[in-house]
Amino acid sequence: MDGSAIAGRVVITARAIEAVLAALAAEALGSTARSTRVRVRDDGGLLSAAVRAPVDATGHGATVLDRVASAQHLIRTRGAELTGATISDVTVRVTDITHRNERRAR
Amino acid sequence: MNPRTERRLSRRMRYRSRSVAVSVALGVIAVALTYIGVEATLAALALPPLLLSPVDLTEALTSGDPRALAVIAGLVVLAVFAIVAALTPGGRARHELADDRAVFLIDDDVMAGGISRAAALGAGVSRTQVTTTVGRRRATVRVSPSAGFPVDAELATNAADHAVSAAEPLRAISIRTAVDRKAVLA
Repeated sequence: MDGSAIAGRVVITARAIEAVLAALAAEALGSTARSTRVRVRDDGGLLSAAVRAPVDATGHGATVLDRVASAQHLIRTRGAELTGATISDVTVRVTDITHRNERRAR
Repeated sequence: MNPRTERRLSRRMRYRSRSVAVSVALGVIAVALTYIGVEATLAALALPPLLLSPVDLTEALTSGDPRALAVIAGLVVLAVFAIVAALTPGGRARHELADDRAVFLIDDDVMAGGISRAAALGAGVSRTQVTTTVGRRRATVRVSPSAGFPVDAELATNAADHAVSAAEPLRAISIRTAVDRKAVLA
């Protein structure tokens, strides 16, 4: 209404946010974006994200749980930075634990 | 246009016309008075009543007969309607706008649409996420935010205020913005 702003508005769809969070989760967990599923829903005005992904346990000193916890943190902070949305909570469900060089080892 | 004409015109558009109700009421009164006059004359001349003498009529109505009770109940309902119609101002949902040369009114629905549009733009949500109801002195804006993007109610209120003051209503309208707890996923 003040004339300086351009008419219209910018909408970031839930799908787009899900895609960004899936990419972040895949990077943090060592899985692929393809095998990572993210669903966001409304949580009293904020976004609540549910992630389902396999975790790669290759060459990591930390336990899987530690890795998932740090991924959870990263998804929340980086996700909020990238999309501009406020994320209330991130639920990570580990669907599989993989080893990248399993096949080559044998 | 002189001020009195202006006031009359404005009032005419802001309030519902009562001419139909007044005509009906006058018609009923005329019929009742005619009936009483005719029967009174006939009774004074000791002639038989034309329809029914007033004495017989009151007797029939106070007899406690169910039909008589139904008639009385109907009359009471009509009387209540008549009293309400007579006493309420019968205002229409409109606001008068300030103008030097003419009388302008804006329908509250139209005003609500404008306020919604401005508030949506101010809050950065889509037009479908905002509903506004406009009353006489106050408009209530309800915004449901997009999930993850908290809405600043003050921005919405300010934008809506701008929109209202741009229309220059004679009577100030204060804006209240309520942000829904439930958000919408885009």
